[in-house]
Amino acid sequence: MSAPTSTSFPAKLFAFFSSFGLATVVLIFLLIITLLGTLEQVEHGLFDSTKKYFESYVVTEVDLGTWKMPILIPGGTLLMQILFVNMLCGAVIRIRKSPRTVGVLISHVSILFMLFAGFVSQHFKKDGNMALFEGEKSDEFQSYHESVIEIERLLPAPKEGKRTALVIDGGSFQDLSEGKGRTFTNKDLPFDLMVMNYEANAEPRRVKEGEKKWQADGYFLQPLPKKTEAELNLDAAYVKVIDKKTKQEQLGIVWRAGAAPLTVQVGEEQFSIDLTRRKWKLPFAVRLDKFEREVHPGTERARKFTSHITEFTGGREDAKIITMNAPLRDQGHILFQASFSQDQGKTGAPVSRSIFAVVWNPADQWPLYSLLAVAAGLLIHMIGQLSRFLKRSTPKAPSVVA
Amino acid sequence: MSARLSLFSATALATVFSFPSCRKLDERMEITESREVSTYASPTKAMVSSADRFYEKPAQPEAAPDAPRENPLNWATPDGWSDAPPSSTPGSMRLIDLRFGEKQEGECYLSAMPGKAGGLEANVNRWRTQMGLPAFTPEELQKLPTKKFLNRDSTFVTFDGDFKAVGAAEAAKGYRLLGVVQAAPEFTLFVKMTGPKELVEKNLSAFDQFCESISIKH
Repeated sequence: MSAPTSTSFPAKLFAFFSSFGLATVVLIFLLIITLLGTLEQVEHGLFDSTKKYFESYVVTEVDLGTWKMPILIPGGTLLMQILFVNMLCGAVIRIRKSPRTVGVLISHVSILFMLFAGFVSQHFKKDGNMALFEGEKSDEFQSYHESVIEIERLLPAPKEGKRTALVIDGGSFQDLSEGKGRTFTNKDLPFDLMVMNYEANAEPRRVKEGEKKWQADGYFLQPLPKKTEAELNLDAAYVKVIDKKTKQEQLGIVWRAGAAPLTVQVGEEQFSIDLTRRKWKLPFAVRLDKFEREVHPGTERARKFTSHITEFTGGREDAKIITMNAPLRDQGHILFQASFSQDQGKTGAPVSRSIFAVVWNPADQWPLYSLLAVAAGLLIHMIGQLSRFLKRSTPKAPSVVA
Repeated sequence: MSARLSLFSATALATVFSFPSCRKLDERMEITESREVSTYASPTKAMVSSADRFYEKPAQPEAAPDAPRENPLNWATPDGWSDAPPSSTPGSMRLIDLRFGEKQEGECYLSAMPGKAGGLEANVNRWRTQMGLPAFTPEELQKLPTKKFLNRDSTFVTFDGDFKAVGAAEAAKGYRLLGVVQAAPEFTLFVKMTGPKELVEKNLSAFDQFCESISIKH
């Protein structure tokens, strides 16, 4: 006799979300977006493809350079969320619970934990870099990809030298392509800031005599082709500073590769406006004491980079070494030795600069824990199955008849 | 039941698709985020001129003894074309370097190399390799058309293909290359124009006009 089937809406919804069919459809879509994302990466680079296919809710267009097509398929974030609900309903809530299914249940819960770790990473992970010359000290690192506009009051100088900057997130102005603008305001600012005509990759150029171009201080923004390596694009925008009292306007250009930020004077106050990478503070400071580079004999190919650093935490100083495959881990932050550069120092002599990749991820080790738990669950299940199999296949002892 | 499901689906879809349009472009937005600037951060450079902010070199009133020599050529930059930024090809042999197209994706430059610079065959086939095309045989090379350039007959080539610039990781698809090679007694001159095929086609007359405008300063 089969169990009575409920026809209520919640029951049907639960049946839908816990169905094996839904899991199959989700996995097929995951396969499709993985394929399309990999193909599109060739044209548009890893960063853009990852954002479009795997960090999105819907994908509306396939663009393989010479071949474009509008489509409507779910993006990676939506698929992972559906998969999470599907596994929770089907593989955890609906599964029959008995000593026989303990191992499988552990594995399923662990996979859910892995999906949750991905969600935490996507939303809370910070990764960037910190570049230090020998003798230089810093306690912040900057994002690889995230652009922001920072506004800092320069005059009157901040009390006790404590500098703060207002931050406009890139997501609030990166949609402002040619002809579009948005005004940003804050009660502590004597002006409103309108950001206009954002370009993902551009270069300021001087307006030639007689040229009719939209210009700021004799310069215009020349859009450049977007590079596939997202890190190489230099974004820029026009900004209009509107005095709240007098309504006077000042037009300027902010460019991420600029040698200095735009400075504006509003009344008696002076501000800097800078298009820059998002910066995060570390809970400790690092000073690069010495940088060493070993190369393979007869080549310029790196064999080993080593940074001798001093870590400052509160009043404590610790000498440490960061080298390839030996990062510094402290208070949830990890500093990897990434690369180096040689620049001219203030005296003109070459100075080494060590570049660290810095990662802060609360879910850093969660996939590892999850995998260990999946393995433990499967092991429990397999041992149970094996013991039951052995019990079944052991021949019963013949009964002795007296 | 199915009506309720349809309503649910419609609401969900409407929520998904209406989300991006919630943000009007003329809206005002409050700045709510701030950060403490590190005490180790460099002081902000204030009141820097646009020329310095954008790395524009100051005008040289007089050439220093070790300064680069004056360009020996005269030319006219076609309408809509512009000089390439100085940083685009550092240390190159380009005497004239121009860009065109909405996003400056078209490139046209003149370079000079001493002597035969490897000869016509090597240079034309180098360009063909850059376009992902097989090398020309000597017979095919002999059949190439010529153009008048600096009052001399010069080899003229047009190649369509996927252009892989020097140092580029990937080839740019659907490109056209136009090239003029002139072997003068002491040096070889190259005029090379590359860009997306449609863009190059639109600039064919500009290319001819540019080539014709080039002359040697006396």
